[in-house]
Amino acid sequence: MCGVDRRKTRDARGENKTLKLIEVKDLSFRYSGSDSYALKNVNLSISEGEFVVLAGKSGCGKTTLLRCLNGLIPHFYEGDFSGTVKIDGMETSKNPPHILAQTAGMVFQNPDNQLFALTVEADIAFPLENLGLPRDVIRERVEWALRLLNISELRDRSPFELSGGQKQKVAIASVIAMKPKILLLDEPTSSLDPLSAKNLIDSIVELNKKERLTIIISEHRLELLLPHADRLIIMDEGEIIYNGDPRKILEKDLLIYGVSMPKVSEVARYVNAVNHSIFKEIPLTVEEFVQALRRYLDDKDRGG
Amino acid sequence: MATMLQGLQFYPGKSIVHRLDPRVKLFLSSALLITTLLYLEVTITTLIIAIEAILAIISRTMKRWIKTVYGAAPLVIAVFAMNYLVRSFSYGEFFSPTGLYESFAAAYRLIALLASFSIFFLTTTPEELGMTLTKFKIPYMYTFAFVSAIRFTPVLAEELQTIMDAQRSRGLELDKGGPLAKIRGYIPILVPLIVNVLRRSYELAEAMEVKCFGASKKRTFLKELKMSSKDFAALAMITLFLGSAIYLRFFYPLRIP
Repeated sequence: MCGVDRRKTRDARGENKTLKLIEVKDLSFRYSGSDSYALKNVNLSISEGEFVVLAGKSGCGKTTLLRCLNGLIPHFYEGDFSGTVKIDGMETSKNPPHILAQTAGMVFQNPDNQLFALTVEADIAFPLENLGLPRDVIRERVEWALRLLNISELRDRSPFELSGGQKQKVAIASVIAMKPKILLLDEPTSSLDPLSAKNLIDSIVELNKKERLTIIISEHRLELLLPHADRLIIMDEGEIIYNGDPRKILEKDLLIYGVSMPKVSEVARYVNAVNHSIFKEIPLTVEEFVQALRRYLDDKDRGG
Repeated sequence: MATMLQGLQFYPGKSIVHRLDPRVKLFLSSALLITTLLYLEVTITTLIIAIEAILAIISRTMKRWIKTVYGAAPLVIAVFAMNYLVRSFSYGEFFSPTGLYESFAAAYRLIALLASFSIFFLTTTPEELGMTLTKFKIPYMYTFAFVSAIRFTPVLAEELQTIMDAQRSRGLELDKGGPLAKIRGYIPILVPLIVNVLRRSYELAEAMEVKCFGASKKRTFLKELKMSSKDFAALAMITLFLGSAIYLRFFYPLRIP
């Protein structure tokens, strides 16, 4: 009945607990028609439930890396592909995109180019209909996705009537309805105003916290994301130059890599240059900044 | 541009006409169309326009319905003029009452024809149109093309406006010169538009790929058209109407003024 369902593939493979959810080994890719490699020898592994922020200049390979994680590369984009990418145990080069899409869902930058239907509800149902799922399953999943993103009241609206942020939420809902384990987001807030961007990022954080969805998001607005991030990956010219705890790298000046750090972190870094004992670790939020300062002052009072 | 977009916009309604199954409405419009074609008499055409007007009133689309009919005025006048000229020459005399009457009847019938389908399009959502196509066993590929055309027309219209503004702010003058210069003036607008459309289509294809387009041979649908009892009732009434119209025309010709 259920046309193409990923469960078949999963059962055939058998569960293997030692596997990471995403494993990238020696991945290089050059788009056909281009002289230089967009990705150079990338190695990466990500566990289930992680919140990963991908940063770097425009053209550093963030989008290319995301495309590799759901099989758009090498299936949709042609070029020289070497190395292996495994998501949930499936090798992306050996599985078709519609199977991979049910494990790693992707949301793109421009919300207008990923909504196809004439109502919100129909748009969320679109991938499920394409998969040939039975009607009651589709109905149930559409309701679930609408509730999860808090957009039930938009159900019958047409995409023309939605704001950018609402459109992007619909795009996420339609991907989530396929029940993927991984959500890849390629600069989802780039066309949004600051308030809608914050709103959208809050929803994404909630998906990570409540549904244990693994999130990989490429973004320029780090101040909204870093407080929630388990990991920050910085890319430059197709290579991963940092992969780890966001706080550690923030002690350095990252602007040369096209990454603008949260303002509080920047201030803390300047303060530390004068007096190294105030911030033991770089704060990511205003609250952390205030706490660290208060602790320092308390210690000083006690000491002096 | 705003007026162009308005024509594409669907105004949702909750009237009985809106809630009818689109297939029934399509049949209704076709029945009115066939009846119009069967009879030459002005009285019958008037009757049909009256029925259409009643439908427009019930569905509260009167204003826009009149607008559509009004928009067809140049065409109607052209049909009248053509008919009148041809008839005048064939009868060999101008200002003959029969020539005038027949030309008027032809133009009048055109109004009834256009008006019958405008009722259909004014009360049917594009989504319902898509579902109708699916019900008629048209391959999903075509339905998808149709729905996307409706989905992206306003997006492209907006883009066109942006490009026009951008080029105007760079000193492009669109309203000056003769017709040829005007056409040439549109080249700096069309080229970026086409480039943008190509880029957009690539992004759309990418998004379709991740949304599993064409993954299953047997695509399912969340919503499907279902005939309710009121649809069957309407269907019976329309069949009766069309049947009697055909019967009266061919087997029991009435003398109609």
